[in-house]
Amino acid sequence: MALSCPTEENFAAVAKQLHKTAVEAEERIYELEYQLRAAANRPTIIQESDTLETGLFSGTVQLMGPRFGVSFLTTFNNTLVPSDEGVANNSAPFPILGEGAYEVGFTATIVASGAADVNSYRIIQIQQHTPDPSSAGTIIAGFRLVDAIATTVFESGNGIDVSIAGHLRIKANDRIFVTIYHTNTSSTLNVSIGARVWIHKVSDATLTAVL
Amino acid sequence: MPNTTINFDLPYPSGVDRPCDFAEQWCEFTAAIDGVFDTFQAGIDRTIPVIPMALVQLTAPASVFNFNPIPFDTVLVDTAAMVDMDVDPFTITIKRPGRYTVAGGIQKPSISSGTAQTSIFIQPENDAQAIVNDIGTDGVIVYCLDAYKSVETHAVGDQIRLAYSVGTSNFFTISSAWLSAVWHSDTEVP
Repeated sequence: MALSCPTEENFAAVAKQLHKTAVEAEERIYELEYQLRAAANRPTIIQESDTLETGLFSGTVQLMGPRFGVSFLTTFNNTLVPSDEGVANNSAPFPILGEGAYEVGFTATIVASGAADVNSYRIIQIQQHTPDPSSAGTIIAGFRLVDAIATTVFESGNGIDVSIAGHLRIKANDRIFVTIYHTNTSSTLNVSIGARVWIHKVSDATLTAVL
Repeated sequence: MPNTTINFDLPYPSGVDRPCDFAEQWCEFTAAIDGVFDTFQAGIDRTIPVIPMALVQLTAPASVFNFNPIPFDTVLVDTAAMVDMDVDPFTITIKRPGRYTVAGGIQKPSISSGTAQTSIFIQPENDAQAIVNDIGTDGVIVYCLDAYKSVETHAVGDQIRLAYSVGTSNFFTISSAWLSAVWHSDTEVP
């Protein structure tokens, strides 16, 4: 939209023209400001556990992270997703956040509840599942695993600190789960208070970038 | 209209300009502001809603020679023609200079026997990003190694690749892998 300028027939209405120009300028400034604010405040949700998560037993993939039964507080949320909704399976944030490319991360301290088997290992995954009515689902029925960011960490006897992050192409109705598989057969594992999970939209995934 | 503002060069009349030039003066002024707005908009368009980024995957097991680039078979995101899977399935090529977050990961079955130190590297720097001690269970354990380089400065044409090493010159199976490069800022001084 180009700003208008006066012609001969409205010389007598300079004040009116000035007002019109000012309104048009303000409209463009508002659009620019909105976009700048959006660029500087991309949709982000950060959640942190405030209770000890217990009972993670060996030999099978189990959920960690925000989910029913484990208390995660939302420490930051600049999206329209209600603050009591989780990043993971107890809500559907991505239809609201929109399809796109996301950074997803998880950090936690994980310790054995009893004996720690030295050199047993833990595989921590941020899993992305997409709706598939025909799928029995490895986490929940009707969802199929499509992508994962994963790390393998070995037990030293003192617990592990894990930090994992990466990028996912997320589509509407996809779900994010944080999981653990471990071989500590002598005891279950606990996730200490302060485990953190976050999602951050970095870009639309389908448009072409302006270089 | 001899006068202009300092920062954006917006023209305005001086006290000796003829009033009958008002229309021309006004148009020059509004056109100059339009030009400034267009410049701002062009800058914003380089940042939102889409930025240069690429995310590629290896979705089927592949036999890859030690310390050679991993070939990818799927493009999940490519907003700036940074990937040409037909010509070079190993590489994300930078198209806009700036600072990038580069990340990646592999899943690799354990070696058949013995022990090895398995590492992954993000090229061109080839600095080790993740290391795990493979205890040789002949595939029973699948090792997951992930890398996340939060800030790298890249020029146009830089080529980002992912490699692994177990210290033995041979082919090994890579179960799956991924690699991403995400622009997050230019390098100018504000």
